[in-house]
Amino acid sequence: MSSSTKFLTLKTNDKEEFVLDEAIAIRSQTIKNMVEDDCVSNVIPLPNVDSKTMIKVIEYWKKHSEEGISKDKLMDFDKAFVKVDQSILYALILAANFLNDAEMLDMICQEVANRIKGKTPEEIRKEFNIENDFTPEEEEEIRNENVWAFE
Amino acid sequence: MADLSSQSQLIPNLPDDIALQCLARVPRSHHPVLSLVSKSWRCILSSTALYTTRSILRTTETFLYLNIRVNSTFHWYTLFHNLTFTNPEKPRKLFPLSSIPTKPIGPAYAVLGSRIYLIGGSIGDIPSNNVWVYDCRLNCWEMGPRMRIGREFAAAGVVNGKIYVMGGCVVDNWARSMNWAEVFDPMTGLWTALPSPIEVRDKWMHASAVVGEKMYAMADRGGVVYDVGGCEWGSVSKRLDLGWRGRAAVVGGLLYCYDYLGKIRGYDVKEDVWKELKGVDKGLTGCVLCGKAKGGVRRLTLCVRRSKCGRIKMEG
Repeated sequence: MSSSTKFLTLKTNDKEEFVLDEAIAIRSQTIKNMVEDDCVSNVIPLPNVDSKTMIKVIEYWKKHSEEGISKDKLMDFDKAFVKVDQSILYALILAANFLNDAEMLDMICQEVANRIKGKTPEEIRKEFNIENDFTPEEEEEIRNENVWAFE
Repeated sequence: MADLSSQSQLIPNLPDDIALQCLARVPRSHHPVLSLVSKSWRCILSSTALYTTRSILRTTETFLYLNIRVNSTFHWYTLFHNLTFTNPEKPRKLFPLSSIPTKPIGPAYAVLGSRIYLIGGSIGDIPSNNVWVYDCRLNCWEMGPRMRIGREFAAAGVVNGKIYVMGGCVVDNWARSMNWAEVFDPMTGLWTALPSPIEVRDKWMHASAVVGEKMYAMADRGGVVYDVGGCEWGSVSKRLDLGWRGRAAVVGGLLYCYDYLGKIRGYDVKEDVWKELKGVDKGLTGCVLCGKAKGGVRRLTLCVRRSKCGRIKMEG
């Protein structure tokens, strides 16, 4: 480890500031690019992320940066990490997308996929607040097309 | 967040590109259910955008497609292994594909990427040069580029991303002689003649396989082998000719088929020897073989009657 650990200050859209080790913060490709392009002044503004979400993101980054942590432990952590309400999950997706953290985005998208799997169309609509724009006739037609899947 | 709604057709409050990333991770066996959620879901599920995303994410899946004869007509099915959303009291694994507009007799088959090519075959007793292409992603058949000549019971195989087809026609005129073998390049969408020596031009082929860069086609007597890398024609070894019965599957450079006694044997082209595949359940005779090597695991899939399916993992 380098003796001169650099710290960055991240400022969320609700004006909270987070001081973070640069080595951890550059898990975000967005922040990494800013650091590499030398356009980092004292404070990095994160206009698309609120402090509540940022706390979760930093928790994730820190856990995934721990030295010598086992794969099993990380998997347990990830599992617990995504067990949150949909609104928080969406905020995390948007944050991971803005911060450009492919690993985290990947994990959360998988969680959304898991929440879709094994549900009926009605259950999916309810869970994700999707409007059913099929007429009953159209719905019947699609069911007939894939009759084998609904038998 | 107000501007999000215009791009959130799929899942409210999530941008469509992210919703697509989520949907691409849901296995295909769930797609029939997903297509009933909303119009935009139905639309995205049969889009190339979804399959491109699946390719990038490496969430594409491998499926087995079967052409099965039921009361003298052929039907296409696909095999789902982990279907979770069927009636548990009536578990099914084989599912019918959308039906093909015409049903040629004795076509040859080849697979390129996510497409199955149905090549030639006779329609009303006349060998046809039609090529039907089934897109496994979109579950639809469409006409592909026609061959230069018509064929039935031809041999077909894929080497280096191109389809090689040979035989299945009587060489009684100049055009058929010149085009006895053809090659299809999906990049250009064109069939071109593959020059062949006169002595290899047999009419009907009853089996074919590709091992490495070599395509083997078995005629009634003897067989031909075409080395794509070296552009060389030859005849197959006596041992291979005598031992090869019915359809074959190639796994890990070995050609597998059933012998007269119903045992599965693998032919090693380099050593010119047949070896018996040991440890196969006695009930698994008379099946269809198909092989696949993926992620270091070599697998031979056996499809038995009643749509049961066995898999043999091969060591080494």
